[in-house]
Amino acid sequence: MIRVTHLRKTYGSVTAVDDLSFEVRPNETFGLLGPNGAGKTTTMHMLVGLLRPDSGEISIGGITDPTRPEVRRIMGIAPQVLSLYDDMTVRENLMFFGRLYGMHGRRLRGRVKAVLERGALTERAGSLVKTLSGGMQRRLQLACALLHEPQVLLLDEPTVGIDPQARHHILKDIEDLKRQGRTILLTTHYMEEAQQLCDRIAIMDQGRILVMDSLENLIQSHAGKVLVRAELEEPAPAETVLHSLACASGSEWRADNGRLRFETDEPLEAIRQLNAAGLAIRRISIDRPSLETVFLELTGRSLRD
Amino acid sequence: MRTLFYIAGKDLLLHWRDRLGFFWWMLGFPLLIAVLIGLIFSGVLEDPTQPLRVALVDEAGTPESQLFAQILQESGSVATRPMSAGEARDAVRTGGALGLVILKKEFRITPAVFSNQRMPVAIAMDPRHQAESHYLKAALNQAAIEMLRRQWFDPAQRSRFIDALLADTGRQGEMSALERKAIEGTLGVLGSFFDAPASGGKRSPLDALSNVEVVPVDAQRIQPHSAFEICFPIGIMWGLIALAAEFAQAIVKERDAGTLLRLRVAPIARWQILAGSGLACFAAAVGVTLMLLIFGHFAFGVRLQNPVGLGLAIPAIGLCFVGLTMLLSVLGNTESSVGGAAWATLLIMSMVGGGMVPQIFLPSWMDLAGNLSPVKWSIRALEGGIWRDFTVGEMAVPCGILLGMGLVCGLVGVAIHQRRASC
Ligand SMILES: Nc1ncnc2c1ncn2[C@@H]1O[C@H](COP(=O)(O)OP(=O)(O)OP(=O)(O)O)[C@@H](O)[C@H]1O
Ligand SMILES: [Mg+2]
Repeated sequence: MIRVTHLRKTYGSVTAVDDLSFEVRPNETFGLLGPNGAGKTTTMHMLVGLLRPDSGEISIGGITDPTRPEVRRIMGIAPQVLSLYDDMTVRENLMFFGRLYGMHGRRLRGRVKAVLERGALTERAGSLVKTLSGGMQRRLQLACALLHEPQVLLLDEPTVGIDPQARHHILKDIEDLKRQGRTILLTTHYMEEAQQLCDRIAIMDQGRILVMDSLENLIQSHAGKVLVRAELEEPAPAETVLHSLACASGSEWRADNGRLRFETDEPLEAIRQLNAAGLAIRRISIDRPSLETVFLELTGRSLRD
Repeated sequence: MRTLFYIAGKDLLLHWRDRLGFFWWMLGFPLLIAVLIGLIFSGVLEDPTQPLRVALVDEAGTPESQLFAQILQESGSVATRPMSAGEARDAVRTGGALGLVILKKEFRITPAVFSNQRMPVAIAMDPRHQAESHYLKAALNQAAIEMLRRQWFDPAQRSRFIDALLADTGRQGEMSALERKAIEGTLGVLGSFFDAPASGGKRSPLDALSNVEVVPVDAQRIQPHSAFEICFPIGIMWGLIALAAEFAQAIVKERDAGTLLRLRVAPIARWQILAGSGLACFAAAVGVTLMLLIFGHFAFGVRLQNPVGLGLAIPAIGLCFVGLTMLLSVLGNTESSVGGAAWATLLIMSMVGGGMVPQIFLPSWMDLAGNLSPVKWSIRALEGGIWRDFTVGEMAVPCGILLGMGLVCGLVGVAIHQRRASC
């Protein structure tokens, strides 16, 4: 649906996007992750024809010029920065943007009603945008992108700066759109979101894609081992404990209260070994490596901006 | 085409919502300017048939000075009011009189006042009425001539007239009684020739020489009926200046608020975005002009007697200000920098174009510089429709210039916009 090949964009001496290539398949939700300044927004803006690439090619549904009206009609973008008329009401904003997409009359009113309901904004339809809370403004931002029922959705940090309830609402919304078979390109700084929503994920930094794969594969190949923390029923000698854990690494044993901490690829096997050695477990926690681990592993832990 | 109206409608709605910008800067403030300047200049542009109001201080208090004061008053050119020096100064200071005339202690009118002596008269003017001082001097000279004429023509005074003449030239003792009689006789004959009404009711030859007939030049039509007819076009300029600044800022705000981004990803052409804003600006400019004119008409008697002229002027002015707005909107990168730059530019245009002080009061070089200002041509066009009674051909000049200026500004502004957007 979206294919990008060798895309490059510089602002003066800053290279924002550098030889970027990826593909978003039809009906897929694709996550573009990366630290601040990685080039995610720049990429999205090139995809909708707001910015002209220095080199490289963009193809959307087979058309290589994203500024063509037929491409624009199937694309919807919720930009990272709020882009709403503060001094117009929620409904006026929606009606205006809907008209720009050639909608009018009953169809327009029907679509406005639908997206208002979807965004839980019906009650505030007559309020000026500047009087809305941040969460409502974000929901309206998404609603504006959905008005013309685009096949391809570009969501640039759709949940930035809002409370957990509003985020939950938006995530549900995106899952719903996903089920409807939309092609979605999503950027976010919240790894749980990407984990929850994306079929495939690309992690980019300094304009380049570092890795691109499904969530499982990424974790498998980059996140390292599972972290297990256990508390034993009775104190036991350190040697016994450590000896029994053949499959674990980095074990750490504290005799005072019988606490145990180790990393392993096979947590179940480790538990079995502990039991076999006659060590009863009172409490256990198993931390599977997350996307966040992968992200930090790949992009480093130093500040970017 | 519909898209243009949607965008224009949205722009107008946003300006309508901005109560301060729309109702105060585009309507209230211009109205206030028009009315205030109108009231101020109602005083200056006093009916020219009214004599100049001056205070008269007679320091001499002689029969001669009293006669002069009487002649001055009778002339009809000035309306004098006798006062003490202190009172006269107060009267000028407080606007009760436009100037004062002092007949000095040694007051005496002889023929020498026109050659080697100054007139024993002093004047002072209200600083705002300096221009009228020349008029006052002329009136004083006229009174002095009239006084000499009376001395010459009146046989009872003729002897004093000759004495004064001789005294002025320092030749008192040089004339014999006989010579003196001869001169008196000659003057008498000349006097009766000039002074005696000719037969058949005709006026004397001197009258015929001094009284040039003044005929009105279509006075009913080519003069403003009131200061408001001059000041409402000025008020309208203030409204349009505010409008251009507000709309230029709105164009920048559209970009800063991110909404331009949404417009640019919509399936519409890029030119439609600016054209829609231009359309809104045009509609608002025409609306503001009409509202102010109609208010001026009903509340202050501003005539709208040349509807054809106004019908040409108002759209031309609107288009010119649309172009100007496009150019102003690229003068900065933020809303406030564009606002500042727009106001500064427009204020200068207004100043040289006669938008602050009516053009007739501007120095000539400024009037010349004003030719580059759309404000001057807008005022000219509006006046053509209000009281100058321009024909379509005469209206074509200011309107053509306005359209040309609007086109050039607009093209430059749009070109810069397109260049900035295409990165
Ligand atoms: N208009 C611009 N002029 C100059 N440099 C820019 C401009 N826009 C972006 N950049 C630079 O390009 C790089 C990529 O920016 P971009 O906004 O695409 O990053 P991002 O991944 O969206 O970051 P964030 O997560 O903070 O939104 C950054 O270094 C940024 O400073
Ligand atoms: Mg971004």
